[in-house]
Amino acid sequence: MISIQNLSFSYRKNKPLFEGLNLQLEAGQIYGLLGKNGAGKSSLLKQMAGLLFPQGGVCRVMGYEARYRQPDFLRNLFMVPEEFYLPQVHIKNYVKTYAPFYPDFDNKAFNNYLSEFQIPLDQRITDMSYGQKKKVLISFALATNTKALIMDEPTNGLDIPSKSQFRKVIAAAVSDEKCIVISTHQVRDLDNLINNIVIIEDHRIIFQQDVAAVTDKLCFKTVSNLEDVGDVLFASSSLRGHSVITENAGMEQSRIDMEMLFNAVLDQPEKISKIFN
Amino acid sequence: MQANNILSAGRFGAYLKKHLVDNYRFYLMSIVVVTGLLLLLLIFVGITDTHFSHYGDLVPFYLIGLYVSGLIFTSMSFNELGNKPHGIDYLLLPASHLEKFLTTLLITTIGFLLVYHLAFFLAAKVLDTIIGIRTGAHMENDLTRHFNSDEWKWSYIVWFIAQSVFFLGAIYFHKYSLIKTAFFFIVFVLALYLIHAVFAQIFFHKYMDDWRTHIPFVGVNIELEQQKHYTVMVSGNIYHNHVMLMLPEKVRDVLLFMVKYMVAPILWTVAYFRLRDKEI
Repeated sequence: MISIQNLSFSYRKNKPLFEGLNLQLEAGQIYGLLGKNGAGKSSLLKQMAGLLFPQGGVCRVMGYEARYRQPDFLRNLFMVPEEFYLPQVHIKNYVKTYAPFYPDFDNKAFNNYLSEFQIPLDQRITDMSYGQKKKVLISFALATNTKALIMDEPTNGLDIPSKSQFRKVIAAAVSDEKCIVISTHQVRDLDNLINNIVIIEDHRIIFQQDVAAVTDKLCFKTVSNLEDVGDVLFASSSLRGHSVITENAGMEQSRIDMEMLFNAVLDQPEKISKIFN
Repeated sequence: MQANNILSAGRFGAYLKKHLVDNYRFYLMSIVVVTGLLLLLLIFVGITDTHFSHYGDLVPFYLIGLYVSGLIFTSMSFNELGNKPHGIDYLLLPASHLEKFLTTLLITTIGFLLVYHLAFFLAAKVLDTIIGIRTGAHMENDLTRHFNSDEWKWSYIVWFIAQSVFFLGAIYFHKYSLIKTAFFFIVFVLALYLIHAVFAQIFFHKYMDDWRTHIPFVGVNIELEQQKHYTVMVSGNIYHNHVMLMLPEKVRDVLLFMVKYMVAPILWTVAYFRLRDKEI
């Protein structure tokens, strides 16, 4: 679905953002793109959408080279940027003017998503708060039924109930034909939603695994004493005790903690890489 | 590349409609403002200075309004690209670059000219009514005299060239486009003049009275040796022993043709490719 090969890109000379970056994303998956500030998450999403052009390598989405932004490509891709624009019109007019460009747009689904987010259909977009506008855009994005859906920090600006509503609508919208890529800092917002984790660091992808593979090979648990567990890959202390990641030698069942995993991958990249390779 | 990825009539229509729905408030306000300003200008000049007895008296104001409002409007063409969220929405909407480009070009040329003429017509009619009430006589229509003149044709040709310059500027500079384009255009013209001056000096130094006596792409004024007392006539210009060396007429005609019909399309084409290569 999305194929990035040997991508090189920099905003300034001698300061590469990506160098020889390779990434393959498949349909039927929800990818969580994680990385530190400035790692290039948003820039990578922009490469996928054709908003930035590779200086080396190629970025293809559904066989189209993204940089050409051909209409056939654009009608099968929707991007929800972190900072977004909505025209100053009623929701109905927004749909009337934008939906014709998306052949698979589902008006009924759009209304359902809005109702899930508790947004009245007759409201003017200008009268809405930032969070409400974001919900309209997310609802529209899902209703377009594009094969590729990329979202940059979609939960920023959403209140606590909206975050769970967001998880619910995304989970309902996923299908075998769709590839959803979500970039975020707030990994806890995406718990139980994403099924594939991509971590970007040092100009390249340093980790890409599906959640099942992670829980197969790593064990996430909370212990009172660090001495109780053997070889700890990563530990984080709190009032409840010590949250640790260990190698899952005994094939224990555990629930992934993405924040812990992210920190572990950045802290112990070689050890983690050795476990997964 | 499939043909419908470049231009599709249905999608172009949908994009034009979307553009108008998104911007109709701005366009309506612009019409009211342009009509109001034209009317105020005409009334102010009519009361304080000029006595308008013919519609032809309004032509200078018509041209000033055409250039000023047209170029300001054109320089706002790609404002959305100066704002990241708006630019993302613009570039990712599933219409081709050509469809987006043509929409903006049509609105800033044909669309603007239609609206401007309507606005000026309304302003002129209101002025005529006011004059009629005040003096009991209406303005005479002598516009045919102007319409048939070469100057009239040239004022439109130059407007299209200026429009294309500011259109290209709008796609390069997203903030203060009008000022930046005007600045770089002046720098470009000055640079052209100076380069021409250098070449004129290289080739005709000892024959030139002054380094400024040349016109880029047209000719150089030279002085022939004093002892040869003859009058020279080249291309109809007689300056005793000064000669205006001009390009051959055929070359001038080609240049004139290029200026008239090719400069604007070339600049629009450059603007299109700039839009196609736009990154945000």
